Amino acid sequence: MNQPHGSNPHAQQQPPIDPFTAFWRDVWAKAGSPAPGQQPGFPGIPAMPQGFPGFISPEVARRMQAAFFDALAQYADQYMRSPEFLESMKKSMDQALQLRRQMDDFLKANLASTMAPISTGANAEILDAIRRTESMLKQELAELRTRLDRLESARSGNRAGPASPAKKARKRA
Amino acid sequence: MSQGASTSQPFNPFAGMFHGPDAQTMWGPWAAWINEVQQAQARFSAAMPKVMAAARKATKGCTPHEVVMTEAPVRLIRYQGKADRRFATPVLFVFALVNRPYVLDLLPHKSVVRRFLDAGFDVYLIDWGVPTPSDGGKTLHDYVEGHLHNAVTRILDLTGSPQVNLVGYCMGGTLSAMYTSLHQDLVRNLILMAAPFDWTPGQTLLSCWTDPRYFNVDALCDAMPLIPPALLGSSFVMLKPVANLFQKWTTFFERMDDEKFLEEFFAMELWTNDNIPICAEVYRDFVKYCFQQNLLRRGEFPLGRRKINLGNITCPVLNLTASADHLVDPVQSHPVRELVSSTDFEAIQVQAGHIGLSVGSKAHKELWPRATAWLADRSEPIEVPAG
Repeated sequence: MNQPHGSNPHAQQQPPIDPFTAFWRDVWAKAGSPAPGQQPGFPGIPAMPQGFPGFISPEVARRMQAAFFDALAQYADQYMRSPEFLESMKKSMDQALQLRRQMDDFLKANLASTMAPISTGANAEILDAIRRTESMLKQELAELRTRLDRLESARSGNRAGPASPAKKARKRA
Repeated sequence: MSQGASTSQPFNPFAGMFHGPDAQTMWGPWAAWINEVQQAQARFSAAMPKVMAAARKATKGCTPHEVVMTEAPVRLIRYQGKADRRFATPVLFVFALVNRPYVLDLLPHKSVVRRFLDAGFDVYLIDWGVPTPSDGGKTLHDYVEGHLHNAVTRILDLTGSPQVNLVGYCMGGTLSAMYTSLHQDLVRNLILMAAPFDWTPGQTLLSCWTDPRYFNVDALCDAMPLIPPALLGSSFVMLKPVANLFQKWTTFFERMDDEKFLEEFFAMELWTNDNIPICAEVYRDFVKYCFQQNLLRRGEFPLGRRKINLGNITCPVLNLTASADHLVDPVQSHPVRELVSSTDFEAIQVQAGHIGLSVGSKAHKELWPRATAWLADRSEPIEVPAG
């Protein structure tokens, strides 16, 4: 690209950039400017075919790709341990929780004004818990009944006779 | 285009780029490269039917089982194996509360459950289920002294055995150790898989993220009864973002012709994306008392009205760790040796990741035969009547 005569685009002070951005600029600069006699491959894209200038074998391309990913993974790990990242994570979590509290308060206030139940979920949850407890207790009672029937029949010597009321009730159920 | 004087031809500054010897040198490599990209795309299209078929076939677990106890949302599962039962002491698998447990029974050739079934054990697994908001008030005490204890007593009733063998994975290993310290008389052997016991600050990425200066666990738990699965799932993904967001897919693109790879890939994908919520109080207990205050290491972890003292554990312990574990670094698991009072303690480390401990080829080839043999040597055999 032609530059105006006498201008120096690099004279202007570049604003300080964060390490994450610096890494990506470095990566793309290397990818776009191959070393002499070499064409770096982008992840997932096949290398240049054999016989042409700048050929890289698939094995070499895979190793370069693996090295790229390893470097990126290390950088990501370092960044996610940095105070800057942790502070931004804290800020976003605080904002999300604040939004949640505001939504809850808004919904409560508006539902109350329409005389609707404040939280239909609460009733459903309580009923759900009651029903689960009920079915658990019924299961335990059924097992106890079975054991009692066995004990009774063992005590009466396994005499054949009319079925006990409990057995009849179970059959009806 | 006619030869000769061409004063009537319009000027084409790009003519030389597409014709002549220089054009071949300039565009030849690019044309070949574009050709390869097109071939790769054709390969991708041709593999799609295989990919779709493999995706549809993925299932949650592969070994037949029955539910022998239900305490909603928790279920106790008993597996049905083909091998004859050789040991009277049953095995109970205890998984973490943040994922589904069928990773232990992912595929027929990658099933830890089947390993123990084939070795002759009666195998159970406690499936913590999917908690609802009404479970939000449950604490770790409810899980350990409630559900886990009820599952153990149910197994003892069913089998007539006086003790069980506990196998705990990750957080399930920590819970299993807590339970064993409280009920050592009911546990014959304890196997720990990548179970954390020491949360010294800065060891892992998770310990950095749960630093109390940056993570207010009380505010999060007060805001909702259940910690959403999306929060937990995305946290796990971000522990290894490059591997999970980029490398996984480049490997998929390269190997999608391989049916066996596709079968394993989609089985794992199904499990990885099958996250469940966790009760807020359980989350609060674990993050505050383990990650932030490291109380378990110091013998001061409160569970109900008691404090957990892992020194009460005297049974044989087998501690399995994975050298490339990004979730529970082996240094978090090794301290259990000093904390328990067991005289029979063995540690095995395998070259694998956190999940690779249960689904990795190397683990199934090298680790699980050793682990099942270790347990077989220490379990009560079934007595075959003479004659």
